[in-house]
Amino acid sequence: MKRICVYGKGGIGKSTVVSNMAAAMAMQGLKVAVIGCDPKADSTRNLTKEPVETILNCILKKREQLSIYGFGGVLCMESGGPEPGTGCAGRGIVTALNAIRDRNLLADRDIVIFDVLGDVVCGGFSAPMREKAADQVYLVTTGDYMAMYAANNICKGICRYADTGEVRLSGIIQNCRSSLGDHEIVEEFAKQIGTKVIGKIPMAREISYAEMKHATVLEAFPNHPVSDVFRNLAQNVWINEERTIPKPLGEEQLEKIYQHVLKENSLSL
Amino acid sequence: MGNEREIENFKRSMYPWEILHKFGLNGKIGGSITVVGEMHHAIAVIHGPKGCCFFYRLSAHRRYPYYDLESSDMEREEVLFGGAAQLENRIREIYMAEKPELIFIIHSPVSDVLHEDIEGVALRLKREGIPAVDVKSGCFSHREKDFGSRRMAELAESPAEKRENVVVDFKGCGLTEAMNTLVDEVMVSCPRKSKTFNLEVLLMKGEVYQALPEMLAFLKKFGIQLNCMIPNDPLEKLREAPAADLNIVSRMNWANHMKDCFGTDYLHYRSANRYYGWKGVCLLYRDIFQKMHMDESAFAKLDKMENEYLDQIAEERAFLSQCRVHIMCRDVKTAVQAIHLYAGDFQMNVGRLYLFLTEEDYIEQEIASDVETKIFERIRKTAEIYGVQMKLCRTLDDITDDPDFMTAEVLVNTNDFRFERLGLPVIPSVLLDVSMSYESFLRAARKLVDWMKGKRLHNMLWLNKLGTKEFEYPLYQDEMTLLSRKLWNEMWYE
Amino acid sequence: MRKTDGCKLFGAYQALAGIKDCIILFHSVVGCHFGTLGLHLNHCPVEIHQASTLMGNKEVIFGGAEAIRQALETVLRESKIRTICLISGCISELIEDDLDAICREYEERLRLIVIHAPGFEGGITEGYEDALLSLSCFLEPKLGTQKWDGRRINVFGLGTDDYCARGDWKQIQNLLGEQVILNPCPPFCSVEDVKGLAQADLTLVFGRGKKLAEYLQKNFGILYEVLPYPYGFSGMKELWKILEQYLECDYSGARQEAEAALKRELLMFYPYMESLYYSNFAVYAEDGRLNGLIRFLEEELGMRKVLAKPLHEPLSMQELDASKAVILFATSYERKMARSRDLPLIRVGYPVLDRVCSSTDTMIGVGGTVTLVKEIINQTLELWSGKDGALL
Repeated sequence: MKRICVYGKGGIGKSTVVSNMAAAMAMQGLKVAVIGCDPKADSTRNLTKEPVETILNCILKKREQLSIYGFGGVLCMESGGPEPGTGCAGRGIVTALNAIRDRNLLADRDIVIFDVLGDVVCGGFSAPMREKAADQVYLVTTGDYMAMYAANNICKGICRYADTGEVRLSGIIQNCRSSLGDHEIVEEFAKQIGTKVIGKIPMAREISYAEMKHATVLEAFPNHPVSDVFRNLAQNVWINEERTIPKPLGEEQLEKIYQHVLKENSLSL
Repeated sequence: MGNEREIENFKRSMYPWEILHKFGLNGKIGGSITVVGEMHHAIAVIHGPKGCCFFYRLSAHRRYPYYDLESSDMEREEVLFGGAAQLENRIREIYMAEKPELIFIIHSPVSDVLHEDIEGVALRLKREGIPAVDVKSGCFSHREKDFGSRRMAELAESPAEKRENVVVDFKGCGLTEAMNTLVDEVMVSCPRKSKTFNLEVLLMKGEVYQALPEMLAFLKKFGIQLNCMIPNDPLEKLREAPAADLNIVSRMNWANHMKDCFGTDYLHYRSANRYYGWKGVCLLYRDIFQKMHMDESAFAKLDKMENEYLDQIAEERAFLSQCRVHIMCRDVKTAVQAIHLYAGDFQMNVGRLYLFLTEEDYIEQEIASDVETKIFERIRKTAEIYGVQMKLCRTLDDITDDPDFMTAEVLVNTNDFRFERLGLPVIPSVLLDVSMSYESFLRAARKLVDWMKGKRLHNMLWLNKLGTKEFEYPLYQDEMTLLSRKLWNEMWYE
Repeated sequence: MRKTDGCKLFGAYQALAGIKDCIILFHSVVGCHFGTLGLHLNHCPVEIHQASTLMGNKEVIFGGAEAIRQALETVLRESKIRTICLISGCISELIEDDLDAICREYEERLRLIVIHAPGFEGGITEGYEDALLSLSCFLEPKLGTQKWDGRRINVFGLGTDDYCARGDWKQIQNLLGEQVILNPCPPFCSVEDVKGLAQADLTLVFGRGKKLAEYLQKNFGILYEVLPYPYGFSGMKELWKILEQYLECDYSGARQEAEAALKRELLMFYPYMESLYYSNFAVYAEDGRLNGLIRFLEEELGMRKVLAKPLHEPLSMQELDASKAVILFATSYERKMARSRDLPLIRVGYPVLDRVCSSTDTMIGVGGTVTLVKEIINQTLELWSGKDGALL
């Protein structure tokens, strides 16, 4: 079984990438599971149409059924978590992952994708990496500075756990919706930290339209070119065996990547 | 040999566990350090703020402070920025100073909430040659609150005439996690040594503790040897625990884990529904023999030896059969055992079984209305086998109103001296625990004879004069203490 | 190198758990409740005034407000108690449960005192100080028209589960005699009594309780003095001297009586006390007790201090060996250390959990001083090795 987790700055498009990639994999005949690790519990919405009962709620209500099947037979689960401003969401993720493991819910899957909230803000959000739930990490980022800054931070988290575990970085998925629109920035960043860009998601209004319908692009616009992008991405991720321990950049190194953008626009730091 | 084990038992009994457990329950750290506390040359380090270590130095089950317990002493900085580095350094210091053979790293609620990478710490230290192991506690996965009610439901369904194990698996109080760590981190695969067994001796006390040497000696007569005592034996012996044919255990979770890892079969001896009284000890050895694949001659020898043991107490049993007694029982879980033991094994002349259950007993024993009838029926049926009438009592008046009450010489099977107030002497319970040796049964019979001969009412007993309420626990003196008790029930049992 | 210092939560408990009409509600995990209870039972098992919200996984993930509500509703339903000390432990502080919101929700039905006592933010002393100060909300000013019944003092510093604390409290009352009234003070008082703390003439602080004493001085003009725990005759004398200085009392008679009584009683131990002269002692105790004990042992028994450490600092076997102490004054947790060297251990401080004590047992005043000396001698005699000859 292939076990991957997808990290990236909040709002960067992780859930969009994950749900579409999962749908594409499922269409290719793979048995796929998507596990949303975010208290908002909206990672799998495009696959399930309706909000799903979260794992934590199921545990509280002593319900045995923690998952549902979404589009293309993708097994969908949401960890869930506390109301904003209360409790400990990280602990919620740990508990949800334990519940999945204890019930052996992923045994028949070919690939499991963990979609993890924004950033590795505390120990709980590192759980998919730490608890041996996933061993390949993909970063989703745009070319924006703060998005790359977050991606770089996540690399630090990977390094920490790579020392004593199996988790490695397997690539970057670029969401090309930055106003900078500069592929070179992300390519350069990938090169410097020691990985590669494995896919580029173009700006496409069909993605937004599909989301409005709580659907993946593959379901709503199967013949649109952007669906092919996700199909390619899914294929690349499925066959990708690259596993590196990243070399996170210092702040100066990161800023240097942006120097030429600033120069081109006659700006300076 | 003198009465060292009795003296030790007496000392161990000097611990206010009953009241402690009427108001609270230890956290999982307590269970884990109890395991470490019974080991040689092992040290436990709690990864948490100093307060956890401060209390748990008092080992939860022993009436002496637990000393070899250390803390990573997490303060604000470690909470904000992670405490793994401080933990690592602390363990290095401890190792340099004390050179323990094993260092158990125990999680605290704080480190669990922060999801500290303790496994990583242990791995890094191991690379340096420091024997640190991570006790994966899961501080928040405490014993399930419905454990008691589930066990009661299982018991209700268990036929009284059959001595079947009532098996309810439950999450431990940190004991299981530490024992599993031993299995994972200490034990190694090694060639099987035929006819050997490991014995779990964790928190062994009372009659079981006293019977231990007798059990070992008895099995030796049949060529069955002890491989190691878990977790008390030195590490080098624990390492080779998987060489044994069989684990004889009082807790199943870790035994199941060892079975998964090394294929070692186990026998769960602390099964209150099977190995009690004379029949219990006979069953125990037969079960062990079966697990050890002993031949028929061994069983025949066992039969012969059993008869010889019984002959030794023929006089005592004859005496006891002349004693008219009532059984007083306050615990529905052990009522069936008590009937078999006193009316069957000791052959006493039992008049009544008083099942005395206050409102609080119902809550504490988690006797839910849906299992109540079955549970009582089970007890009643067992009593009928011996012609004993069961009487369910909610108040003391229910007992004294019974015209037959004063027809007995004594009340047996209760340590509750307060029943002396009803006018009959009280004889404390014997052998309601597991019978681990034939000698243990003999000892109990002789003790019972001794007590019967010396029976008396203690009119001046201070214990009986203390407390303000009729049959409340004497320490519930004020409204606040009662409120504390209610709050515990409310919050724990929900 | 182990410290015998608990965390803030234990300190808060030590300050508040004896208050009669107020219940302690730990908003924390089960272990904090069990831990404090375990250390409490030796000292006063008939007064268990504590409960816990028993935070578990559910409360950690979703917040613990509901568990607090459940406990508070139980209090409202099952009792007439309307004052609750809500001691918040590590976990609720980590997840930032909004305890103020709970207070607002219940303010018309319950008096909730919130003490933030996460173990990672301090030790017993800090917890004790903060908890005591939290009672300041009850203080009522001295009323001009109120009938004044003489000189009154507050005494702070005793912990509810300190060894012999109840006996020591009674002994302090005895030492004051009829000249000065001892205000009922935490932890041995009621909530109603706490109001009266502002109606004292002086506050004595035995090592801890300084924050509330300062508050009383600043807001009510009540002066305070910090002094060590009043061990021995020297302790009594210092106490009386301060009272004479601030309150114009005269304890000369009491001094003479105490001295005469001690002379009479200690004479019984004379041959044994001779061997204490110039003997090395080590003491490992709370700040407040440390100096009082040292003064007594040095000045009154002629012993020699070779090691003195407060509990919040670690004590190692090597240090103890190097000190060449022949007797150790410490807590129960130092028992193994003492036993490994056949060193007599005199239990002082917190925790003492391998001794029970009655409410009349004391370590101060005339009776307490005699007990302390007797304890030193008996503990030493008990450890006679039984080995003979010069080749021990």
